[in-house]
Amino acid sequence: MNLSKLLLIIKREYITRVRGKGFIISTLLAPIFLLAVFLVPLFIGNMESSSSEVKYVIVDETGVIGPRMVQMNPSRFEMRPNSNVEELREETMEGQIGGYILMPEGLLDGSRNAELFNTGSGGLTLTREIRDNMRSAVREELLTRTAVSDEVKAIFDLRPDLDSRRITSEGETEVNEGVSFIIAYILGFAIYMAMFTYGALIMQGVLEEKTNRIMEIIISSAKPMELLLGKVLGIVALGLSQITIWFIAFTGITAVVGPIAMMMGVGAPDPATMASGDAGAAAAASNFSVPEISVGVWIFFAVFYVLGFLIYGGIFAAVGAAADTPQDTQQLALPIYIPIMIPIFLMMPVITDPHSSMAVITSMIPFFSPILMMGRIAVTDVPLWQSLGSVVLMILTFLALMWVSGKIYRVGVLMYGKKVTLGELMRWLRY
Amino acid sequence: MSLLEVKQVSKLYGTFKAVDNVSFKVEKGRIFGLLGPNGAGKTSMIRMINHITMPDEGTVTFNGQKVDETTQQRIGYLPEERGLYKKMKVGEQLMYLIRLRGLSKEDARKAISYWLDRFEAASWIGKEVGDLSKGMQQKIQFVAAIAHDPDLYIFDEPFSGLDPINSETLKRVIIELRDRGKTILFATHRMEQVEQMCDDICLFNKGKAILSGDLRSIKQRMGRNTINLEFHGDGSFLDELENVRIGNRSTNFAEIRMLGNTNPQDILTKAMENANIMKFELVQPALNEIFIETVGSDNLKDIKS
Repeated sequence: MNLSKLLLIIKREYITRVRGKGFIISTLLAPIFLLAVFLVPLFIGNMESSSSEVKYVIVDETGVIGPRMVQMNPSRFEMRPNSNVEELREETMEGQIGGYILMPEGLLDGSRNAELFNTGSGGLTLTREIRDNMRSAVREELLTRTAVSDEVKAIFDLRPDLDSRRITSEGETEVNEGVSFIIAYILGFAIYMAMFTYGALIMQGVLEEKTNRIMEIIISSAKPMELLLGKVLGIVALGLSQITIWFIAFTGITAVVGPIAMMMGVGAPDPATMASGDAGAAAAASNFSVPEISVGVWIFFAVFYVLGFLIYGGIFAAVGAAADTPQDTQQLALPIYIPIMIPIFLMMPVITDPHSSMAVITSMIPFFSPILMMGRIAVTDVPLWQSLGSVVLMILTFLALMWVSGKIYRVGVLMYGKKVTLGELMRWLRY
Repeated sequence: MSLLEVKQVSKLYGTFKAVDNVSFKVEKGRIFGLLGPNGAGKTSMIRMINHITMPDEGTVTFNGQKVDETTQQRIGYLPEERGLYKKMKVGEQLMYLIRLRGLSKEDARKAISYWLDRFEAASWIGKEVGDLSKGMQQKIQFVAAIAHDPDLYIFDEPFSGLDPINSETLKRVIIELRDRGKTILFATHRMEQVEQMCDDICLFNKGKAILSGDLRSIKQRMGRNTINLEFHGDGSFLDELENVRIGNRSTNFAEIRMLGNTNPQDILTKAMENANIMKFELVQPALNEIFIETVGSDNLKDIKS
């Protein structure tokens, strides 16, 4: 192995790719996508609450529930003297009001239900909001009638919540389970996408060198193993640059998202909107918190990213070498795509129960580790023997696969105009 | 000591014997032709000299040393199948390829600028290869093959696909390199193209070296047994000649190879009876003829097809 040649090969691979359109676009798009993932729910939450400013007219036969609801949520409900149902129906159809609610007498003793009439555009959130308001109003009314004390009323208003905290070796941390799930998915998916796209890049690169016949010149200047390793490492370097850019972008985004959320008035939801049950904004506000990815997770991410790459990169290069046309690569690469895709399907069960034996075993399989172990590390505190163990297993797998790929690559790059079968590949190993 | 020595080399691909017990020597400062039809094993032989593949039997030595990564760097190679990275700039590409051959950055830069000037291509240095015309790309390929100043240059079918101007340039460069004491090894099936340039040859057929040595003495050994005939008039008399083989025939020219003890005077007489003779010349046979004769007529069909 000639180091200066290896470096030359790595450098060429890196520099030509880093200037490529594909790299620039994917590097820029990912943070934008990420930003969208965090911001879109905020916007939607906001839009929902503003678009749902449409009024609902209460036709109240009880005479008491209507006023209570209007008082509770004046932007939503309205009462009209002498309103008639025919008119309301027309107004609803014309879109002047969102709809109307009929409150029969029997509502108070539970013998009848209230009825909501609208054009069906309110959605679940709205229905839930109206129902919640109505229930509160009925409850308050009944409590008042039975003349219970304020203490009892307070008991009914009490709504204790559940905060979850994660115990780690560094101490307790407050977690937002939803967010760490999202992070696990994002990181796992980033590795998945990278293995797919960069794997295909390596494969195409080798095939291109083969079909445009520059291989013959290069192979008379450097050893096949130098070329193979140089190619894979060049692309690893490319991936690492991308992660670094993303890391910086991520840090920037989390710094930016907070203030934007504040500006939109959902960063610090005020109790009034909460109490009034403005479900859209409330949901957005409670879902929203600037996710934090610890340095440890970033380091593991980089390690798994690189190793995932090394494992699959060599195989992809070998496939490129064995193929003769782009169609061949698709056929030959199929067996590689499967072990890359399986972990994506396993991701959900693994991160929902990260300490189950299924999760431990699958995440230790070197072909799955980059995605599954990453997912576990993002959601929980994985025992060191497992995380480091999977790293060691991956390194061993990489070395073994490199040997195999090197053999296939050696023979394949000089084989033109021939469609290769799997059996033939096996024979190449013995050359 | 010969610069390159191939000793009893064989190469198998599966059960197919691509190179079969071949031996030859290439002397320093000479132009050597590795000749033979397509599929004769020339490229397989060249790959072993370049240490791209290893012989199954026998040895290839360069300057007395068995070929390996270090000898690779002393060889310049223009493969039959040409190609460059389309998306890379000319200068970067040459720098990469030449440095892979072991040159330092500084030496590579000097060599690139010298050879690009020599091929009047200096202004392309910042252009992407894919934007160049085919002829321009060919020039860049020569530069990539020769700029690291090796001792031995191997050109596999160097003139295939070249326009006449580039062909001429390449020929001049090859002669120039030889005059500087470099050694050149050609591989080609277009024998007439290299006939005037080669000092020594080795004829390949079906993986075997069937004839090798100094071209001049090979030709002398064959004797002046070929007639170059130029004439005006009806050429049908040529078909009536016996014990000859006619190659390279056109409406007013024929290259007549006499077989056995044919008397050239008889042919001249016959020709004069039928046409106006412009030129009648007894010459040594062309390389192509030598090849056909050596391979034997039973083999002829395979070669022509």
